[in-house]
Formats: sequence, C-alpha cells, structure tokens
Amino acid sequence: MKMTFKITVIGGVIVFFAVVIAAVFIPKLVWNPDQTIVAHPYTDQEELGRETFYSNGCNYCHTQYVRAEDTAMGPVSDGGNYYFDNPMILGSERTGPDLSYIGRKRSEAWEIEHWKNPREVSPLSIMPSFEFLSDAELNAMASYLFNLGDRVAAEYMILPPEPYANLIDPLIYPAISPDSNQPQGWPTWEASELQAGKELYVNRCMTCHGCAGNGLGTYAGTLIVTPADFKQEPFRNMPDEQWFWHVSEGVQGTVMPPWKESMSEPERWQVIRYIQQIFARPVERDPDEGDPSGEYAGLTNPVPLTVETLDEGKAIFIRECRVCHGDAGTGHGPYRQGLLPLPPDFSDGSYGTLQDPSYTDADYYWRISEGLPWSAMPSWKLRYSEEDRWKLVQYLRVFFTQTEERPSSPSGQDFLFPEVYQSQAMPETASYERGKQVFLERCAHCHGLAGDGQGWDGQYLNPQPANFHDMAGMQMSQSGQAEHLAKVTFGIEDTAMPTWGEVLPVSERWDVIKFLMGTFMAGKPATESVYGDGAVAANFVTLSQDNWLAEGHVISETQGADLYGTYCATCHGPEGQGDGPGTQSNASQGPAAFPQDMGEPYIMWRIWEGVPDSMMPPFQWLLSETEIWDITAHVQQMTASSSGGG
Amino acid sequence: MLSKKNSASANFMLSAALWLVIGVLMGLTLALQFVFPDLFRGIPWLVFSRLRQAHTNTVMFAWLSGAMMGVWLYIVPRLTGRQLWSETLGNICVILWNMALVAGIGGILLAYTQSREYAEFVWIIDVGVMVVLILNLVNLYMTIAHRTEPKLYVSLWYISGTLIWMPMLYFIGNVMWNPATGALTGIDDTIFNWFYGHNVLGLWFTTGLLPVIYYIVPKETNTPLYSHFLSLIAFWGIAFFYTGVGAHHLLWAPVPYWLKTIAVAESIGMILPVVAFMMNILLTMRGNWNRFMTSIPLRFIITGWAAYILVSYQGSHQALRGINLITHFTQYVPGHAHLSLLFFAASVLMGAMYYIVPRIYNARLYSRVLANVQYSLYVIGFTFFFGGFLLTGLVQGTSWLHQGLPVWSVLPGLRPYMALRAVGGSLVVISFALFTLNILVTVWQRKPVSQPDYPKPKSPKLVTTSD
Repeated sequence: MKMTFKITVIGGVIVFFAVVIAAVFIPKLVWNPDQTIVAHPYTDQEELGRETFYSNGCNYCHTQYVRAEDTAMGPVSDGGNYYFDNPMILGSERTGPDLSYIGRKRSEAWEIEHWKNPREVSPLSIMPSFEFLSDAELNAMASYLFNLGDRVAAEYMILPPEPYANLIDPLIYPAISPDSNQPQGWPTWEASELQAGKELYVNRCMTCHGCAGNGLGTYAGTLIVTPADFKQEPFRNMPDEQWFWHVSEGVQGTVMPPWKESMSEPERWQVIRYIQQIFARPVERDPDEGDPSGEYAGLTNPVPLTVETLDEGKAIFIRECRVCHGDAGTGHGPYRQGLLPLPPDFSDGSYGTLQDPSYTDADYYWRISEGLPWSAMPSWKLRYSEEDRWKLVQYLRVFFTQTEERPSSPSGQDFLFPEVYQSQAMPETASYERGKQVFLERCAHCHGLAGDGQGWDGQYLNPQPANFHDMAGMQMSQSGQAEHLAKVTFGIEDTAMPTWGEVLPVSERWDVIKFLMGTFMAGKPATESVYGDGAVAANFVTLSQDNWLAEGHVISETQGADLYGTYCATCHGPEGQGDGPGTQSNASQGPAAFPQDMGEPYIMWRIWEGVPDSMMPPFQWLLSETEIWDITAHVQQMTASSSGGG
Repeated sequence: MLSKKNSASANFMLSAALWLVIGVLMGLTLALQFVFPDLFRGIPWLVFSRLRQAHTNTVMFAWLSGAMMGVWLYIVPRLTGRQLWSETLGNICVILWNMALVAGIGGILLAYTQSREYAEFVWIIDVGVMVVLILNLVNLYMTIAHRTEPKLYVSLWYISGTLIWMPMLYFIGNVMWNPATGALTGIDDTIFNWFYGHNVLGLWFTTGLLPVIYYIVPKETNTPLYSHFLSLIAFWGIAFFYTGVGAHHLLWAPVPYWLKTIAVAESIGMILPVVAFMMNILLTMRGNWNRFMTSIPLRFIITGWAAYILVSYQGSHQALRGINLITHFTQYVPGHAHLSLLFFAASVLMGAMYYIVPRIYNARLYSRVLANVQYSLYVIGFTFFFGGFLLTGLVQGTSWLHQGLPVWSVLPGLRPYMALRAVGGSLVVISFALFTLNILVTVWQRKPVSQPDYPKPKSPKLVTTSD
C-alpha cells in the first residue's frame, strides 16, 4: 500500500469519525437515563457548593459512583442520578471515601470542621486542610454535600436481584392491622401464622438475634459481625423484598445462612412476618389472652417443690428470662427497651396472694410453653423440657408472684458448693473500682446502693436481699472469700439471689467481692470533698447546661428530685447533709455534706464518674445522660446559697 | 528574529525543558502530601486537589506537548527535504502556547478549572490551545504538501494523522460548544470526557511520539526501517483501535454495557499494532545493540520504546473487567499513566532532544557524564516510583474488594508505599533537573563540535641533500 499525504489525512479522518460515531455520538443519542429519585435540581447555594467542590478538585480523591462490588457504600449508581450534573464529577480515584450518598450522614457543622481540621475529627484521614476557603464557600459546599444522594436508610440497601425484586408478603391478613376491629387474641394471632413464625424464630433465629430481637442472642458475642438488631433502622422500615431476599439467600460477609435451603417459602414469610410485627414495627395491642385450653387445660405442677427444683428453675430464669424480666422479676431487664408490650412486673400485686392466687399452675405453664400473642415472649416448649418449664413455674410463683409456699431449707445444713471453689483465692488483679461498677449494675437494685438491702427493685422479695452492713468489721479468710465467690456464682438456694455464674465472668465476680469487702467489712473513710480546689476533670470543664439544652434536650428538676430520692438520698440524705439511712451502721463512713454552690461541671463530673476509692459509683453505668442532668439540676438547686433564687 | 532557521523547534523544546522541572516538582509536592498531608497547610495553590490538576496539565501540555511539537518542527523539514513552511508561524505558536499554559495552569492553581480529568482548562484557554493546534497544523501540512522528497516516510503518516486528530479530539472532548462549563449535562458528559481523556494519550502522545522513534532509531543506527508492511499495520491499527478505548475508564460507571464492551475489545485489539511496532523496531535494532550504550539519544529512545510496549500491554490487561475491578479507583491507574508519560513519552522526548538540540546549535552536548548519570537516576528512580504506585494500588484494590474494608481504614497501611513513591520520585526529579541543566548549558556554551582526534601525520621531513 502506497501511503500518500491524501490517503493518510483523509483515511485518518474517516477511521477517526467511524469510531467516534460508534463510541461517542451514538451513546450520546441512545443513552439518556431518566431522572431518579436521587437526582434533584440544585439550589443556588448547592450549585455554588458544587462549583467550590469541583473547582478545588475534591473529585480527584472522592468518587461519586458506586459499583455492585463495593462494600457498604449504598446502591449501585444509576445514570439518572446525574440528571442535573454539569460537569460530571464521577472521579477516577478513591483516595478518600465515595461521596455518592454522603447526604445526611454527617451534619453540615461536622463537614466544615472536617474540612478545616481533617485529622481532628477523622484521625486516619490524609485530606489536606481547606481552611483557606471562605465561610460562604464552606457553607455552600456543606449544603451541597448534605443534600447529595440523601435518602432513608432502607433505600441505601442494595436492591434485591431477581427473583426477589418487588416481592411482597403473600398473606394479607386483615387482622394484622392494629386498626382492625378484629379481636386480637389467639385465633387472630394463629390465623395470621404469627405463632408459626414465632416457633420458627425461636428454633432458627433466636440464638443469634436474641429473644428480644436486638441482635444479642447467646451466640452474638462469638460473631465478628453483630447480628441484626431488628429494632433499629434499616430494619424498622425495610421493604418485604429485602427481608425475603436476605432470609432466603443469607447475608454476604456474615454467618447469616441462606434459609432457602431448609425453609419453605411460606415458612420464610411466616418468620419475616413475626419479626416485622413483634420487633421491627411493634404496635401496642390489648390482646385477649384467654385461658389455657387443649392439652394445657387444668394442668397442675407434677414436679414436687423442693429447694433443689427451685434452684434449677432459677438457673434457667437467669440464663433466659432475666434479660427482659429482670433479676427481681419486675420487668426491668436490660433488653426490655423497645418491646411492646413490656414485660410484666411480677410484684405489682395483680397475681393474687398465697391464699388467693389469680393464676393457676396451668396459666403459668401455658404462657411459658406457648408464649403470648402479640408479644416477644418465646415459646419455651421448643427449648426446655416439660420438667424444666414446671421448675420455672415454681421459681416464678415462689419468689416473684409469691403465690406458692416457699419450701423450708433443710436446717443446719451448710452452704454446699463444688470442691474446686474451696481452693479459689482472690486474684491480685481483682479491682475495687470495677467491682463497684458491677455492684451498681447488677446488685444495687436489690441490695441497695448503700448495701443495706434496701434496693428499689427487690423490696418485695421474700426473703429480703441481704443487708451488707451486718458484715461491718468482719475479717474474711481465703475460705470465706471462696465461699462468697460460690454464693455469687451459684446464687443462694432458698432466695432469689441469682446464679451469677450464668452471666458474669469469674473475674467480675471476684471484683464485686473485692468491692464488698473493701466497702462493708473494712470500710472506706469519708472522702474529703475536693470541691474546694475547684478541681474538675478536664473533659468536664467546658460542660454547660446551655449546650445540652441546645441539642434539644429537656432538663427537669422535678424528675431530678425523684431520681435523687431513688438513687442518692440513701447516703446523701434528703437534704444533702450526708446522713441518709444507708449510712447507718455502715462500715464505710457517710459522705460529707454538699458544699454550697458547686458548679454544674463539678456535680456532673462526680455523678458521671463517681469518686474513686469511695462508695460513690460512676452513675454513667446506670443512668442515662438526661437523668444525670436532671439530678445535677436538683443538686444544684439544693445547694444554691440563695435558696429563694429563681 | 522569529524567522531564524530551526528557531521555532528549539524554542519549543527549551521552553518545555523549563516546564519539565516545574511539572515534576509539582509531582513531588503531591507525592509528599500523600505522606505528610499537612506539609503545605494553609497555602491554597499548593493544596493537593488543585495541584494535581496543575501537575497533569503542566507535564502533559507544557512539557510533553511543547517538546513534542518542537521535535516535529525539526523532523518534518528533514523528512520533506525542505525548510519549515513558516518559521515565524512556528515561533508564534511557541509564544501563544506558553502564554495559554501560563494562564491555564495559573488559573487551575487559583481554582479556575472545569475539573474534567485532562480537560481542566477553562474555555478561553481551550480556545488558545485550539488556535495553536490549528496554526501548527497549517504550518506542518504546508511543509509536507510542498515537499521535495516524494516518498512519505512512516513518521510523516503519524505526524499528519496526529495533527488532524488532536484538534477534533480536543474540540469534541472539551465540549467547546458550551463555553460556560465545557461539559454536557448528565451522565453522557463522562463518555465525552474519557473519550478525550484517553485519546490525549492515544491519538496525541502515542501517535506523536512513535514517529520520533521511527525517525531516530534508523538515523542513529544507520539502518533502514525493517518493514513498511509492519508500519502500515501499526498505523492503521492504532487509528482504529485507540480511538474507541475511552470507555474502559468507565467500566463501573452507569454507561451502556455495550459501550464498555466495545472499549474492552478495542483495548485488547491494541495488542496487534503494538506487536507490529515492537517487532519493527526490534528488527531494525538487530545487529545495532552496541549503539544502545554508545549513543545517548538512542539509549533514551529505546528505553522509551520498551516502556511503550510495557505500558501498552499493561493497559490492554487493565481494560479487562476482571482486572479492572481490582485496579480501578486505586493508585495503580495513575501508576499506569506515569509509566506511559514519565517513562515512555518523557524518555523518547529526552532522547530526541539529546539528538536534536546539539544539531540545531551545531554544538557539542555539554556533558556526556551528566547524561549518563541522569539516565541511571531516571531508570532507578522510576523503578521505585512505579513500584510505589503499583503496591499502593494493589493493596487498596484488594483491601476494598476482598476484605471489604472502607476506604479510609486502608490509608495508614498505604503510607510506606506512598513514601517509597516519594523517594523514587525525588530521584526522577533530580534526574530531570540534570537533563534540563545539560540541555541549557549546551545551548549556552555552544562548544564547537570537534572532529575525531585522529593522529596527524607527521609532515615528512624534507631530506635535502647537500652537496
């Protein structure tokens, strides 16, 4: 082929345009994706922000499109997401995170701070500082990003592929709607296949997702990726198709199995329906529970009531029921939050008396075995034998509802515990402060914060919780310590003292014993108030009520007074003089009277973190931040020098 | 003054040599910011995101394109057997080009940018660039049209093609009919962006620098080019395959699937012209490898040729969906770009300048030792530099994809590789500074070319016989 100038130029242009038409112009003609819900026209402010964003080249480290293979970045980007974009700033490198769906993930104030001082708020970042941009530019950019790809959490999820796309629950049972006039009792519950769903849940899901649906089942702690907490987004509003897809195919990167291998389609829908109704979107209902029928009608407890069977019932209760019903059966377990209905308070008197019980053995047994309609109460018949369930009935009736006679323990018999415990000695690593935290979280609601057995939950118990003040001045030998470890571990047979060995690691059991010995045997001297120095921990110095209120919280001094009465007055006394009832005959000396005019930061600090090496516990482990602010407000008002002030 | 013979060529190359130092210093600054993000804190025009654009435009347009046009202005007259059509027009191009780039790069540093990769210049700068491209086209086309050598050597095919492709490419890719943003609205804009973005390499640097290799290798080895037929395959192959590869930058973006497939197919098709070109040069070099060590220009040109083969194979592989899945979004991709521009393009141009500048000024190269040192620093430095990119990219890609780690959590683990890149990069910067120094001093000193120092025959003693 002879190459002339003409052939080179004309041929070159023809080849060029042939390919350009195929690879550039035709795509331009045929590819015009429709606007998606992610795309929105930009306001002037957002447009300025977008301009600032690309003029400064942010898109050279931050991409704006998500691939199917990307982990946890949101849905795969659609061409229509960029309907209003000009120029396109998809980006080609991901030195920083993808920003396709950054909207609403961070506040605008956070973003601005992050641009000024990247490593202050995001320590691993290698982003340069953009503090040289004007406030107007920073605000505009924040507004652009705040509205970029913003959607509700469920929509961030990867859309289910065929055949799961657009599936809905095939069973539309009208009575599921809380507005329906249908009676909400057992017949409706069973007709909606919710009981079948509950049984599947208890059998298949509960070990990981937990009886309360919060992802804290017994296996949860062994998993690297925490099981889903159905009470949180995105599960609360997750569409049916997502549920069915994840249940059927499992969840990539987790141990969630593909249940399609072992559950039929209707079964998967049943369990999904149960989770949605009970955990994700619970509604307050007033079900008619009815009376035990069929195999449960008229049953009486076949297991003879002894101290030993009670003890076995207790072990099951502590292992399974405590998390919702609470150690003292008052329904104040740690997982109760978000449950509808809430677990019952066995001490509220509605269960009758010893002579005149409102519920028979069959009533208890039936509820434990089958659970209750429209409640998270599992069907324990799937997990525990008849005998075990009967023992649980005994435990509830004897100690909590107190509608059954407590068997007397064989007199003169020592507390028996396994031989291996007798040689245990307190490890040197046992910590008074950690013990104080365990005491606060696990023991104080029955034994009282002052250890006088006057806790707010356990007063109705019979026998009453132990009064540790009786231990004042005692010495404890190694064998005594070992015995106490065993008591904490196995509980005390003829009382409601839990078998903490089911729940607490041995190190924490030693910690709490160390706390008990230090506080109620040896005793702690009264701590001098350090308030006079004006010393406040560094991170509390700038604390201010104004900031807390500015975040939209409310501080109630009245509420604070109530909380003070429950938690503080036992030692500090109703007037803050340090003469509460819990100080009586206590080995540890009572607290000093409150100094006048302590500042908020000081009070907050002391309540939040406690006082080391004294009985004052760090209440951050027991109370919410709101509650601590309430108490602070009350204490501040109590100690104001001009008490008439407003 | 503007019409002095070969002055346009020399001016283009000398200005480019100065831009080279600026461009790579910008690059080094960027590499350091990956390791020490607060190093230039508070200096807006040194912030990474602006400087990155300034860096790419400086090295691509100011250094590589400027030097390349200078080389053409020297080669084309030699191959056409006549003088350049208008030396004055050539010098006007030099002035306009450098003015446009000072304004354009300065603008980017002040945040005047369209932020489309490689198409960052704002519209008014685009106009300046287009004017130079068209004037340059006129100048060289007139030279070729009025040539005295009837045969059109392969280098001239490439140069004629490149001259006409680039203005069309630049106009379409920069969406110059929309002056406000230089972009389309909606996702299609990205197709235009990457059509342009890749073809600045494919239809500008590649087709602009292969003719330089085709010219200098036969000249320096005194061997005719091995095959006319292989040149034909390479030329038409590149024209056909390279034009359509742009969408391989968008394999994961929401653009039509068939378009991505075309891009992947064209990228793999590139292997054909690359092999043809590789064999053609390899067979021309047969029997001439001793010249590789003795000729400095040839050493750089052949290094560039090898780098071109490497980067082309890398590029074709990288365009496969499976490989691209790991490498996309990572530093592996800028690594590829640097293999192309910093090792292929820069090496060819340095070789060409070592060849041409002494010839234009009829002067001896200032220092061969310096050139040898510069070559070694360049190759060693680049190896570490490229290794840094490669490792950073592979760690990023595998951590994201196989371990599912979020982008930010991988950053601390990348730091050693990023530091390696900065270390290797600084060797390259030193090497380039020595190159510019060598060229400038050569021009400054103009040491006369000395003829080889043959031993002079002793004048025969006249024997007189007295008598």
